[in-house]
Amino acid sequence: MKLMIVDDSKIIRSRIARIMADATLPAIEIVGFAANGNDAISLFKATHPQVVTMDLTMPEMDGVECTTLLTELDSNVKILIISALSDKATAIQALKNGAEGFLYKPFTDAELINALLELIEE
Amino acid sequence: MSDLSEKDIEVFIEAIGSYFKQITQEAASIGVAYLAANAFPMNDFTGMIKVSADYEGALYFSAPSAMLRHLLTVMKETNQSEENLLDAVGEIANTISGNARKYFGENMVISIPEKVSGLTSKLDHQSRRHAYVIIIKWKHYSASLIVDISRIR
Amino acid sequence: MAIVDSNSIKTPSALNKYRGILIAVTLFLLFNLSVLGLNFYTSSTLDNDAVSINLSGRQRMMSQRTVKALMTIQVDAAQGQFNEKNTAELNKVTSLFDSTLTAFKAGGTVLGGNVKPVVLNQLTDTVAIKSVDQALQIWQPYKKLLAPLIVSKVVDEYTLDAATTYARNNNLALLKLMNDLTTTLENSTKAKASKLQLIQTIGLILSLILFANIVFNALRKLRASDGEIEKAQRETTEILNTVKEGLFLIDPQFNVGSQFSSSISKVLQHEISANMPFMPILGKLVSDEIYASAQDYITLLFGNKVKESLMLSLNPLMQVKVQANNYITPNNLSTRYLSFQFNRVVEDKRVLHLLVTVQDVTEQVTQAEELSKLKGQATINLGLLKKLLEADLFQLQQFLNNTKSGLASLNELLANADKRTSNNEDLAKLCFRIIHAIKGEAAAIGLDAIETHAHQFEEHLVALQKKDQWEAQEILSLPVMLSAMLEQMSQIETIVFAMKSHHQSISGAQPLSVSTSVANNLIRLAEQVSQNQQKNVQLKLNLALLDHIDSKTSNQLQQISIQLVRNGICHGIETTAIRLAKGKPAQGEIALSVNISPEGVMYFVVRDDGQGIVPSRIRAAMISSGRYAKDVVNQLSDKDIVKKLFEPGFTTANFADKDAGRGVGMDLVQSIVNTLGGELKIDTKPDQYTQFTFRISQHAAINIEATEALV
Repeated sequence: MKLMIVDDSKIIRSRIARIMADATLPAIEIVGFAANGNDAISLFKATHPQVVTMDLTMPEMDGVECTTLLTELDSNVKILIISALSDKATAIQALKNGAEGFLYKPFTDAELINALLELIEE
Repeated sequence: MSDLSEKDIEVFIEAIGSYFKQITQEAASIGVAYLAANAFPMNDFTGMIKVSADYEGALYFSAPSAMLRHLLTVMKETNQSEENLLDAVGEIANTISGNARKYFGENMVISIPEKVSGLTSKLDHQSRRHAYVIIIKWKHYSASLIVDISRIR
Repeated sequence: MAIVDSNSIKTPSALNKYRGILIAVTLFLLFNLSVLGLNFYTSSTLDNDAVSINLSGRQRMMSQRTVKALMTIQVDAAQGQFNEKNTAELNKVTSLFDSTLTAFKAGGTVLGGNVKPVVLNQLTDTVAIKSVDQALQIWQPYKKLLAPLIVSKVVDEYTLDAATTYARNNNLALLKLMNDLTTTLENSTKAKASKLQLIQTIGLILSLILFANIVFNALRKLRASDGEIEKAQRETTEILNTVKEGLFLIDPQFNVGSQFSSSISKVLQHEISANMPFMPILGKLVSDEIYASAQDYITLLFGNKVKESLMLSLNPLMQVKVQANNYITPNNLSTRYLSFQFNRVVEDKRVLHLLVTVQDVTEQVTQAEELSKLKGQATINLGLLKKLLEADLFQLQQFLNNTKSGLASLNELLANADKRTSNNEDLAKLCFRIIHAIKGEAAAIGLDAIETHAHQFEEHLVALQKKDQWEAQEILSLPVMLSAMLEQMSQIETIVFAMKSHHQSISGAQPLSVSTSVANNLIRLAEQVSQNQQKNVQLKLNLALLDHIDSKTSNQLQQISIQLVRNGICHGIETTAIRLAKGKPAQGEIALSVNISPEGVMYFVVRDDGQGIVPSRIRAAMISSGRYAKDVVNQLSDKDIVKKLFEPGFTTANFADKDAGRGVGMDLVQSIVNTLGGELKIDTKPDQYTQFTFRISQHAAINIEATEALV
């Protein structure tokens, strides 16, 4: 299963990648990283991932808008929102627009893996 | 003007503590807490969030680069460029703002964190006569949490 | 509120519920089947009987046809004729009669009316058997007589005559016997048929009874379950009528369900009825933003894609400020807070309904808000303002300076707490000393608000002192309390500043001298403390020299005075009754004086005419306070006991009030003496006096010549 990581924080991006590598989940293969919504859209078109982890507050295009566009491109894509802002309205927006999971920052390795597995299993 | 309670301030500290606990399995703890009027113990990298609505002022989490480097190492991040160190301090500020939002609700509007390196010991806009300084310990490092927030409504 | 889960709704076993009825119906069917079987059996025997009756009737006919054939043969023979037909007829009827009669006797197959063979059962009825036996007796000779006639074409007259004669003689008897047989068989069949009828009647009655029983039981069951449903419904209604929370269901079309708690209208301040759309009601309560968010949230809940636990944490209506509505309380326009909780009611992975719980949390929210507003808030009240206006400006300024520097050094202690080797207990003690001094001064100039605040701070420190480990909140509480005091001080400072400029610009009056100011202060303190302690004390003051020394020293001497006057009243001076009993004047006296020796050494003397410091009494007090072990106390020398008075935390009081009991006063005095660089000497005589003498060396502070501008 192909995974794309979208987060404006580089350390979060590499941390997620590292957790994926450590957990040795054979089912998941990271196909790319994006630091904002625009990059995420082009990367998505190029690589067609089935799973996306998505930050909410990002420059240029935020996570909610990006989620909406990605779902329009592929209604089957599974999107996990990862955000520190416990802004309920934004989270609900993202879920309404196609995201299926939500994870608060900061998260532990296990929390991320669980959230992703749950998302995939659905 | 009224003040924050110790419980209010603890929310910020808990956010930092749990951040370190979640990522490094070693919680950060409170060292000392005091008041400062003009000289604030700023470190190499600072994440700042501004608050408004029923409150005014800002909150600073300032950490020395050695501490952030160690944190990145624990996170297995080998690239320890200044950009990544700022990123790390920004993430912690982000976490604090998340927790604060949860605790204070709509009464506290919180800005997106700003990340700065090399702040002076003076604050640009000081809201309180005496701001709270809380020294946060993690391993043998000390970071500062400066709470310059007051309740205006 | 429990989470509604489809799994918890158990389908009661249908088998169990209807077992009684099922058993009854099965019995009913079995019974009817057996009655049917019996019918079938009886009617089949009746069929057999019909054959027998038929055949026995045929026997009558056969006997007559035999006679007829015999007669015809005889008539033919008389005319010398012979007809083959007649012989054949005779043969046919005799053989039929014979085989039938034999079959009646022993059972067997005979040719029926339609030339088909039918089975004839052996007769069982004794009357019938008797008829058959008698018939056989007649038939056997008859048959023998007829046999040659059948075989031969040539009829011998003699044989014919014999047969004809036998036939004439016996024909009627035979006919009668066959008639009897028929009648007997008919009667027996009739009896069987009526028995069958009886059985059928009884079966019908029994099955009717069974059926009635089934119907009755089923009805009773139905009524019972109806009753249960009714009871459950009544209970539900009772719950819905009494529960304080608003409870209702909403369906996927967002309409309110048919049942809801009666409090819902009050909580939502909106009349609710079944099938009413929920969103317009919400729209009237919350902002557009929250409304939109809530709509998305509820849609997501019905979608059942996102986990419930996650959804719970996203609830935008967890605590919402709602717009006041004049539905129930027209005059109450204050804001209210509501808390909505949504739980999915799931069946087969489909969300059928959402259970909505609404609570009015206004009280909790406003209480919390008020509490947080109150907490750490600097209270400036009219009482404080009045006290400030009455207070001596010089004293106030002194107090402000001292307090500010005290709080600054307290903050310094906090900032460097981890750099010291000392533990938390020591930190609390050091803070305590500073706050205690502030409290004393505040009490002296009558600033109750500050005194109370400082007292609370002290209490907090006492609580902290007992703990080895401080929680984050406890560490934080110190700067928070400090901040509150600083805030209060800065307000007082602003007022004092305003008062000062007002004072100077309007009256231009000379402020009081230092000595007068200190004296006023101490007198006020003594009045207050002796009133609290219910003692009668007078101060005798000789402080003129204070006007000629530096302000720092005079200030510190004043602080010492405050502690010693307080101690003197609390611990030294006896109550009036005791004093009178001891033969002393009713009114106690505390004398304070500042003197200078010709050598330039300054002496500061505080003397009370109280009970003195008596080691044995202190020992007893220490033991009775319960704070010290008896054997430890008894081992201390008199000198050790007096030294104890200066140890931080030493007290013999069982409880602390504002005036004494914390055991910090003497410790504070000692520390001030140390900073002044002087010596302290104590003289005491039991029941006579206690005298504290401070010898302050010349270089420390005194500057008589260079009198400072003190104000």
